[in-house]
Amino acid sequence: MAWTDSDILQQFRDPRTREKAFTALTQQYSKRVYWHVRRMVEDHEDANDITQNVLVKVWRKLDDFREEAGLFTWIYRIATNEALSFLEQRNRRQSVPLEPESASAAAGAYLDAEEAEDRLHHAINTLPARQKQVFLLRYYDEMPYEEMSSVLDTSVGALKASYHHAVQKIKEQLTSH
Amino acid sequence: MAPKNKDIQDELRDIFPELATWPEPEEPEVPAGYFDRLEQEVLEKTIGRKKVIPMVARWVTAAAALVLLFIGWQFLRPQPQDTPDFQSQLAELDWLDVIAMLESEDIDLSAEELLSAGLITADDALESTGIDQDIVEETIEVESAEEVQYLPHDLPELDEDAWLDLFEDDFGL
Repeated sequence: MAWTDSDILQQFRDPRTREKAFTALTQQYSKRVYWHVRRMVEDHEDANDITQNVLVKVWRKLDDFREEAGLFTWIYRIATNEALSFLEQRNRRQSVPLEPESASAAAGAYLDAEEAEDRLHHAINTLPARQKQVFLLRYYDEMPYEEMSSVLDTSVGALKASYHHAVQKIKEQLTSH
Repeated sequence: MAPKNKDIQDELRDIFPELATWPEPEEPEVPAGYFDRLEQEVLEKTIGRKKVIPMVARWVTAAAALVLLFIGWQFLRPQPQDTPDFQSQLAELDWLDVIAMLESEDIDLSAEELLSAGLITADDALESTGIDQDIVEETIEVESAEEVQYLPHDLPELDEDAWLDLFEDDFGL
């Protein structure tokens, strides 16, 4: 039986049902958190570590959640910030920046699905962190700008502009030789 | 994996139409059973215990354990013997067979020892002596009567001379 966010929050605040509520939250959202993080960091082990950190933070901070946004939006924000912090640290450790792959085939050509996805991932990885985040939330999670605004604490207009720039850069990567 | 939401697809087509129909990739792989373990590890790190098992599942588990215990007990409990016990087997033996076996094994036992071990009955012992049964029974009756007559609690307190007189009278000593 799926719990509503309201059920989870209400029962979490009652010490007698707190653990039960958090168990329900974990069952309901851990998979979505993982896939969100996995798309950002790509590696499974990194995604696993970050997902666990995110859910532990949720456990610690859920008492402070004021319901100004939806529960999963709030969890998403924590996950996004954790993943971005991880990517910044990883980029600092890498002495050589990632080289974008030169796309030999024009976008839309008859590509093998795996090859197409590889090229798209390479192109996404050349984006600045914020543009990458906006693109992932929009393209893969199909998140409305209003919700994204709450997750990333950025105006809808700024998000639309970021997304537009991100897609343009990906287009350049995939169509250039 | 191109977006399926129409608004998002339309928006994408305006900028980069090919990306709106980009080939759909296979889902990235995760190890088998990963999401169960993820839940488990998160719950251990937070609420500090194993995943909550629903009460119904607990009852089913307990019932299954009881059934297994019962089946195991049925197999492992001491089974009643189908064969008669040692004494019953002995009782079925003919005493002549017992004697023959003892002789063949060169085991020297008296009739008294055989009697006390329950290997033969008193009748068997008598039969083996060849003494007439009537004589044996008469002797037993006489001895029994004498034993009754001279039971210690019936004896008067006599000094040594009185005992000698008594033996002379009764036994001609």
